[in-house]
Amino acid sequence: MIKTILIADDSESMRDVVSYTLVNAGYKVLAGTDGKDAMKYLDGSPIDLVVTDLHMPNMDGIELIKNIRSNPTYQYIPIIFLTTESQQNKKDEAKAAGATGWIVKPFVPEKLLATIQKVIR
Amino acid sequence: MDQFRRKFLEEASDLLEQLEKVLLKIEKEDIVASHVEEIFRVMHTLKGNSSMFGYEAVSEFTHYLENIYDDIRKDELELSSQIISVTLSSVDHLRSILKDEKLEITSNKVNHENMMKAIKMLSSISNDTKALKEELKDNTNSEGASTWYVKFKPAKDIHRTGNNPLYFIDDLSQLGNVFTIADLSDVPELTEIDPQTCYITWHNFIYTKNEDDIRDIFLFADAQSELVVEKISDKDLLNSLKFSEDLKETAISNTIGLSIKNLLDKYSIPSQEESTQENELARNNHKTENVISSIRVSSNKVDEMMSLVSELVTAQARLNVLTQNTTDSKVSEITESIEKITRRIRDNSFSICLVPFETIVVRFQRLIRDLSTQLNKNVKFITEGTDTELDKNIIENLSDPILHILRNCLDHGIESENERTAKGKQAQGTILLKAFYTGSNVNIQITDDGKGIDFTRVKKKAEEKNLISKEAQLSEKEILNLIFLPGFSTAEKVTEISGRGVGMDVVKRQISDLRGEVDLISVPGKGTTLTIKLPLTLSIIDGLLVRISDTHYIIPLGVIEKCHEVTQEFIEEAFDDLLALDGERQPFINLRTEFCDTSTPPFLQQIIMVKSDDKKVGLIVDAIVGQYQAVLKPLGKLYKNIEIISGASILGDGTVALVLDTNKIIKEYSNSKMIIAI
Repeated sequence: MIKTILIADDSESMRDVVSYTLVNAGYKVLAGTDGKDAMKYLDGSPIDLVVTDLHMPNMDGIELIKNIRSNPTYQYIPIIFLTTESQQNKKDEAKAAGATGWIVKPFVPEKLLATIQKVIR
Repeated sequence: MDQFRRKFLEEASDLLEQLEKVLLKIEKEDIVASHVEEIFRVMHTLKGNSSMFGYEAVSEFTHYLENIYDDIRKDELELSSQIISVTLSSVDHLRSILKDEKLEITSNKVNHENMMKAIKMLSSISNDTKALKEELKDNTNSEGASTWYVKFKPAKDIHRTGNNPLYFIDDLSQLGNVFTIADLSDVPELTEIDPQTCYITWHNFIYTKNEDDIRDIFLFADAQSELVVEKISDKDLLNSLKFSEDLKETAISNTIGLSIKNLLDKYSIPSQEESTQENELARNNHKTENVISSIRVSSNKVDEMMSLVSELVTAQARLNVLTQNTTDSKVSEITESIEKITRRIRDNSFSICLVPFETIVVRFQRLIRDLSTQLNKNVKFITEGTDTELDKNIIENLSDPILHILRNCLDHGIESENERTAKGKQAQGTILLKAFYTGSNVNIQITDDGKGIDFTRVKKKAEEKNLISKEAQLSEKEILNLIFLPGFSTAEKVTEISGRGVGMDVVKRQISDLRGEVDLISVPGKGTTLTIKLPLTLSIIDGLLVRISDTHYIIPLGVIEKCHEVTQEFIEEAFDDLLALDGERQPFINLRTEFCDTSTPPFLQQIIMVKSDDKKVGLIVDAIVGQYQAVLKPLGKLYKNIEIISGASILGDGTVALVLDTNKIIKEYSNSKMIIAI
């Protein structure tokens, strides 16, 4: 079955690169322009993975992760956040909110796919 | 990746503009946490994206800036005006290095080094360089492989973070020969099992090269998970018969934990245990801000759409003419419906081309800020009506003339603080930039409360430059208009600011190229107001369709004051090229003669009074056809020298109507004949 990945990033070029990579790898991609926008896809339809940026207007990545975790349908889906922060505290904050893993920007498409395969098969 | 680069660049320039806007806002108002947060976010996005798209210099640069603002938002650093200044110049620098990513231009390179120094000085972060490159770890290990013991006891709630511990074990087997023992001793009775909890501990023995590779697999495991990676031997124990047998025995033991311990004691070399650290949570609340949801379309596409829409409007007009006399009700019904849709499409696409004036205002704020510091003048810059929308083609060409006018305001208009206080004015000067609609026009008004324009000096200057004769009697208005003559500059010496050889004549020309008008009012000692009157759009004009013999012309409706119907006899009786209309003597131009039409004029003719630059003249034509919304098409290169025609439009029946540029007609006419000023 084709896996569905939801991405949330306020940067259009970032969304484009990530979706391009994922679609080419055979995933179905949904994209939100920020946390709030991404929430609209959480309507009960199946989502296998969420890839989110941390710093976004309206609703940041941490808030989005918390919201996803509080939704019984998506309580256990893997969530990967994109971050340029190499500082540990940001990672921990996201992990504490319920994130599964992270990818540090900049990344090459192969790295993104490899990380995604760490959490969904 | 290249296909996204263009979008990245567009986005980056938007981000920089946003940044500039916030910075200027901060400077004017108080520093608000949300502003700092916004700056940080912009830097953050810029840094991440630029490194993704290979803009190393930009990424490194923004990295330091981001650090500074990170410290500010954590209250570890105070946002000083120095930081704002440096950030503003950084915006400029980033703009230029976005175009020159490899720093091939020497000035950019030098600038980059200097800016980096300035920023590093402000930045208090010490461990910053490694942060950027942390990702690129050296994973190669020249040493040979060893046998490792890897114990993985996931946190009980590992499933809750979306992790699947089996994936880790699976990944481990990719690294080399592995033997895994699952310890199920913690699994409770079936009735007590919580399916969402993980009770299993995995003991793995693997023969592989690199410890980092092993740890990397468990990267996403929680801090609560227990991970032990221990080197047992430099030899491949998994291939040793004895070890394998011991392993198998351990696997079926009832107390796996204990057996493993014994096994390790037996084979292991001394090692140290590492556990992951737990960190305290820090919570940052990010202020929300509204973002308009919109799509980005290249302006070429918009231009093409507009040109297609105008084709559509023309085709629709032709269809109307063809079906005018039809008796087929169905055809006329469809024609009507197409007409309606066309009109809506036209209005709609027209509105797509409108951009708020605000888009260029930041540039002006920046100019005022930089210049007032440079000239040491205290100025308050106020903008009003920045949501007023204008055609994007007009906006694009509007920024240069306005920049020039503002420069003049600051340089020549606003006095120094001392001068102002001496005159009893407020020490702080004010420049007001205001945009507003009047009918189908947009007005942009720039008002300063400076010293105004010195009429006698302007007149003297014009005399010196032989622009007017000494005897000329000029009204104040006419004196002001001298400023717009080519080669006029009142500045005693050429300053860097406004006397750069570009005079107000260029401003005026740029504005009239946009079919706009400039109006200047000045009160000595009180200040100057300059008003730019612009059409809403360049592509469609409201005109009056007129006819001379068989040729149609369009006169822009905005310049028409009045229409008179007169007889040929009345025109022939004109004395000194003046006609008595409305009890006044009015100058006129017989377009029939001007366009060398030798056919006999009709008995009744129309005089259309048009005004421009405070001058009024009557244009004589054969007949008025009616009001007409014309889609303006440029004339070909061959006609570029014909100034009095600004373009052409295709009429419903397919014939061409020429659009008259009345400003140019009056100008050309007044060069040869006297026109009374009002």
